[in-house]
Amino acid sequence: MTRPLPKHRVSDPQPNSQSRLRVVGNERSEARRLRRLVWRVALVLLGGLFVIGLVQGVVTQTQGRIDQLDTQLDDAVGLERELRLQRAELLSPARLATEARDRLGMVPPATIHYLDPATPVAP
Amino acid sequence: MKRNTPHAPHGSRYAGPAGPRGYRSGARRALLVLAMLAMAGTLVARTFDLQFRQDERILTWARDHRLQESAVMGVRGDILDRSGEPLATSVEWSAVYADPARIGDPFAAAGRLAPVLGVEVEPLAQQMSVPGRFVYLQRQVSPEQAAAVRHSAPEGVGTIPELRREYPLGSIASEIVGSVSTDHRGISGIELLHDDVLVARNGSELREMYPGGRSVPGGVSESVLATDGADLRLTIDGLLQFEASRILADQVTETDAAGGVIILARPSTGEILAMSTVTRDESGEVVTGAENKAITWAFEPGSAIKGLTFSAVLDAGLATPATTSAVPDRLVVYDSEFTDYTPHPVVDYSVRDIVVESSNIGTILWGERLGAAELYNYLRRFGLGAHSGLGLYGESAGLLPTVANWSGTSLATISIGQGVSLTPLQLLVAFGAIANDGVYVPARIVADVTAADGTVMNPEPAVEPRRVISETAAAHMRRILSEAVASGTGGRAAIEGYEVAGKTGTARKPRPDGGYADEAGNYRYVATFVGFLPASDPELSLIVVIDEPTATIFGGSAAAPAFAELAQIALRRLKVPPPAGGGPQLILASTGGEPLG
Repeated sequence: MTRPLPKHRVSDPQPNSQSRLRVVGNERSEARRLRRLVWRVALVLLGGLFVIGLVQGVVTQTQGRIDQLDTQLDDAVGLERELRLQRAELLSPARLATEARDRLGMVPPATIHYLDPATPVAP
Repeated sequence: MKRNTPHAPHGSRYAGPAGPRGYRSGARRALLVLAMLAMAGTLVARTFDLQFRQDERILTWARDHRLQESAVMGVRGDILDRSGEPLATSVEWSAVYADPARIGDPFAAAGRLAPVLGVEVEPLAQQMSVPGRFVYLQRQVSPEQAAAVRHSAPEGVGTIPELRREYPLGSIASEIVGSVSTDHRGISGIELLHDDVLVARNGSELREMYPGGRSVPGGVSESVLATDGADLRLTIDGLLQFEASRILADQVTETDAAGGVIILARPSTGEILAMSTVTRDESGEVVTGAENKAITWAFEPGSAIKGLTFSAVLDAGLATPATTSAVPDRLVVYDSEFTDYTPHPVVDYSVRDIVVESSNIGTILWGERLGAAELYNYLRRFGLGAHSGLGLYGESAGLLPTVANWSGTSLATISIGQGVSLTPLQLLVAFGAIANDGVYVPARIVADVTAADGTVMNPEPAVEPRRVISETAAAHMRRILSEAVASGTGGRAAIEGYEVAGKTGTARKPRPDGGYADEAGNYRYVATFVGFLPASDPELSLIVVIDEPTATIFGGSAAAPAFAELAQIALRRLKVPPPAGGGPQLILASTGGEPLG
């Protein structure tokens, strides 16, 4: 008993099968390349965004540091002026006289004795 | 009853047959599409409007919200003494402000803030309740207070930085340096006179900021630089100024006087090293005067002017120091009788004797020989009747009437220092001309000006130096004045090791309503000592004027001791050696004495 032959045998060579396979193969390759390209572009974009974010972060941080240094500079200038004032107050003759009198018990001389440079001082 | 209608297959785009329901569905869909188109159109139109038509407004709005403009304070210049120590400087303090619109409950806010500011709650709450968006609650708040305010400040209250003027030496030199207003503008003294030099120009800064207060990197950042004021270095020596004030206050106390003036200067340059005024406050305590009487107070100098009268006589070639003339002890001129203080017979007094003994009659007689016009011209050249050139506000030019306005006794009175008035500074600078070989060198108080960029400028003198008397006449006068100290009325101005030249003055003080005596016949006096040292090569000139002394009224006893005391300190401070062979110089030791102060 013989089996009926199928109407179409897939394995049968077709006159134009080679060109059809090539076309299919090329479309897939193009699609893969396109996908790869899309992925690469996406990666580059993502990477770029990441780098931009990173740089932005660094710039923001640096700007914050600059702001901080500006504030420190202003504070230091203010402190310098404050310290200059304190120094001047400490050097004030009135304060020195009060300290000498009240704290150290110093008194001005009743008389001032002079040495004659021509007369040698006894040792 | 349910009506059967054919159903479209699932997933099919078949909309069913046309009919009333299908029609409505299509119409709805069309409406929906139209509505969506309308919305899209509106959005596009709005976007177009925002992007192209209202872009400036939106940009401005964004700028207003992101850009912050702040004032940058310039700092007012310092006033320094001759060694560069600050007499006036500025430090950063704060002002406390409120935005009443943001304060919900002024009384609650004031209740929190009042203890920090040390004020009453109710007035503070009233300040917070005024209409508007800004009101100062308190100005010139210390850094500690400002920190406390920031810590406990209610909503709508804050601090802003502002400068405060500080005077580290306190009241010392305050009458010279002057003061500023809360807004840092000069209102008296050097602060006012040189306000245009000292004043700072505020700048501004425009920055793009994040809401948190940090700058936007690469954002807008524009600034107009603030310019600090120039520093003004005075010729005043802080230590000598202190000593001058102290010594003068002691002398005023000791002589039970109403006040006094003391000025120390370098005659060769006109530099004022110390200039102090003391007076008595309401309680009678001797305090530094707010008014700089060294330049504002015109007084009759009395016998101190004899130094100028005889300088004129010598320069005019009428006499030498040894020229003698007969001098009685009283003289009638026109309708007035003049007398010497000590009665004496008619004696032959040399010019030197007249000055040393401070004879009124001898001076009047020589004044008459000189003549009114000549005396007037000499006194004018000595700087009487004209401003000193310092430029300080309130300075008096004194009073030297023109000859046309002189009465029959004016020549006599003016030659002995009555009927003429001058300021202590005028008298000192006039004597400085004698010390300076006859050349009048105007006083100056500003040494130099240093701009914010470091440029140093020396101010030009307002008055040019000029010769008043010859070198020879000046040398003769120095000799005579040194004898007035060595053996005359100015003995208490003498300093061991140095030759001091000077002249005493004891003048009755004219009353505002005319005359010299009050209803009870009492007089008030002004005691003066003016001089310079070392007499042969003067380095320092000094004047002490004691106003209304009562314990002793004479220039020789009320003023000369203060002269000697300050001169000794100044000589040591400025390292002025005694003249060769002038005597011992080195301070060896000191013991005992009164407490300082």
